[in-house]
Amino acid sequence: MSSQRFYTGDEQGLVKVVTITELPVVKVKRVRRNQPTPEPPAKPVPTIETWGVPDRNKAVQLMCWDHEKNHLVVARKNGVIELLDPKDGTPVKDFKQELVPQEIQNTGIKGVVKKEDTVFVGLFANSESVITCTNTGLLTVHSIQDPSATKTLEVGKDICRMRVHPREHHVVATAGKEQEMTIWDLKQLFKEEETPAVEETTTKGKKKNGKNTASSSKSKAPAPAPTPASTPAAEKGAARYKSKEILGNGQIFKAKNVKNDHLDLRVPVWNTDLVFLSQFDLTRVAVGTKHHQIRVYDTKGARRPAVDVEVGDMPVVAMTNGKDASEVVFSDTVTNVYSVDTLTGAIIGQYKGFTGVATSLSTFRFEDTDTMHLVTVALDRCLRVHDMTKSRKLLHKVYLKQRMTAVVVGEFTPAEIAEDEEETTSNNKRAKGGEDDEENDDDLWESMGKLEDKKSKKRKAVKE
Amino acid sequence: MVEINTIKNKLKREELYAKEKAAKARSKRDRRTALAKEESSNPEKKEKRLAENVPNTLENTREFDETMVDEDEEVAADEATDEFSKYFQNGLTPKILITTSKGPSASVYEFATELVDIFPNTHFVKRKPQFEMKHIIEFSKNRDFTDIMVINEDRKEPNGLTLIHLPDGPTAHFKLSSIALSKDIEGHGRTSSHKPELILNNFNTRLGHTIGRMFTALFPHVPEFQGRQVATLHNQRDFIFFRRHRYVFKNAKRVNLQELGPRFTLKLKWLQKGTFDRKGEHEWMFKPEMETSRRKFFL
Repeated sequence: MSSQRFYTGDEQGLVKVVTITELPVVKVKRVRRNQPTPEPPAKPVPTIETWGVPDRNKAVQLMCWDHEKNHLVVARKNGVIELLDPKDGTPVKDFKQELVPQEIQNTGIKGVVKKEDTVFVGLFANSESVITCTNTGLLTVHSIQDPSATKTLEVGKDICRMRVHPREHHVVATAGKEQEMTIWDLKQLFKEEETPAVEETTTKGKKKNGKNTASSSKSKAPAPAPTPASTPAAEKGAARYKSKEILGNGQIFKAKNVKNDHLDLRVPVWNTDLVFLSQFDLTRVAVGTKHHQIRVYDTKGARRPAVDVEVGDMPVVAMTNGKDASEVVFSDTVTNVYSVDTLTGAIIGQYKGFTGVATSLSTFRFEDTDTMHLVTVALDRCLRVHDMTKSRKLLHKVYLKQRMTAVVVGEFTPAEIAEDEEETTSNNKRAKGGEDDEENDDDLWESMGKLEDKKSKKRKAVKE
Repeated sequence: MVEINTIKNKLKREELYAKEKAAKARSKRDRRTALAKEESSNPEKKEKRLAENVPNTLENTREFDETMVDEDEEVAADEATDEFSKYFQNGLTPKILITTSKGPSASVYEFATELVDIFPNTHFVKRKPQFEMKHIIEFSKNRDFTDIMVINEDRKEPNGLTLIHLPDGPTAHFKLSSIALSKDIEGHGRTSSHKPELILNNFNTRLGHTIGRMFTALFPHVPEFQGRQVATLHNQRDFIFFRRHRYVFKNAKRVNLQELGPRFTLKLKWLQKGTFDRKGEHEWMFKPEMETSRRKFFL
């Protein structure tokens, strides 16, 4: 029995570890007619482990893994970013970020000033640093080794989502309300920003630390961050723009609003979520909007989206990559979850069984099988696992008692060794051949041959 | 014995059928009188029989629901700090605003009058077409209202009720049906302005708890018992029945119920996180595809 772990975060600030056990796939024997089909073995009950004490101020807003899944990174409502040990949930390290409530002038009615909480809209971690972004547009890079060495960047107000490219960790995309999707190159940016003297020391320190961690953990080399490849690309990108003012400091790409509508009115911009479509290239980004559109930008091509389609009629809440680079899965505010083809913009299918809005989506692959699965947590307090094949079947549903906000996929535990042994022994038998085969033949003959007897008996009975 | 249905003569057949029917009824009556006699002398037997003979209903054979709440620390901690905690923990007195959809008809006003009568500390405000719900919510927040009720109508009949808890939500929308105003109820009593007692039945799942708490938070904490008025919200198969009664003490042993009205039935359509927003996130939403079985209930 193989098992898969998931880590979820909720509004009460609890982190829960859900372990779902999968039964080995057993071929159902053919059953004769008139005989009851054997009942399938009962599904193992998923185990749930809870970390932390309920506290609404510590509500989990975002979660992610750091490099090589050494720590679980949790961004909380009170501005604390914690690094948790994935074994027992003890906080290893934390960063504090001041989240000042933002005053919003509500334009609808005169003089109404609304205070809105600052929330984290992006979280990413690798072996060296943790990158966060708030909805006020403060992008912060915390260094894990040296907590004092934080760098900040203003990326514009009302940001709804920040994501870091899964492979090139210095490439960051942001989007928001009246904020076009923008791709930033952090490496170039911080190089320009810092005064040479300071820069040298910090980068040196960083490099050293990076090396140390790599050697001590005996892990594979951290994800490559090829400087020569990235900077020319950025320059090339910048060269494409006729007026250079469009691209700000450190920006690689800035999207342009779609053309005016049929009344020649400007189309409002409100991007709610975005994903990098492929981890192998930087160029394709899909964006979901409050106005229920999915837009796919190709940074090699135009600044306007390559694909712009309306999907459903309710705002997009969350998005994730699908089976491959040509598919994205998104959820909307009326509890639907669809998968969309990013090449044509067509809705491929819907994942069913949701009664609340899916707030966080993620895909994973059961390591012993080849099929992809979709894991979601929703406001209806459930974690769900769907099959991503054509059936899109709901495989598991786990009630977690809280309104869930975040999910990440944990480690996969392969099946026990005992079963493997059996398999190998049977394989050996097959390999031996010869005598064994003959014996098997005899068994085969014995098991057959009764059919005729029965028939003849029947005939006899009829004659009598 | 000849089968009656094989007899060719209709008169004969009818006669025999009637005889058989009478015999059956007689035997049943005899059996029951004998049982009643026996049980009157031995009341324990009757109790035993009634305890054993429980008919199967949709409710008691409902599908297993894992969200059923019974004493759970985590859920209790969640509810202790949820949006209604100001009412339950701090003892806030509810103040309700009742309004209608735009351009209401007479029947909606009538129903609104009844609602004003039910909930103490309620203010009816005529809906002005220039204000959207978003604005009304802001105005109400500034005026310390704790809840907003919006009556919706279709074909000049009230058909929906939206309940918004302030200041942080949630928002619930109910289908409204089977309305009987007080004046339509035969033998109804006159209401008094006493704070009523509240009975909530069968709000057992996690969702049901939320809805139950939402309704509880509409009534003041301490009822005025001298008024002897009771408002009941009874959930059965996801339909919430509202009734209002007065109990009348006949003598030291007997109590009579006098219905005050109105009667109406609610069915939850969706529950939204936060105050009303057309594009807001839904915590729970009814979809026809969720009705997989007649024994599946959500509240």
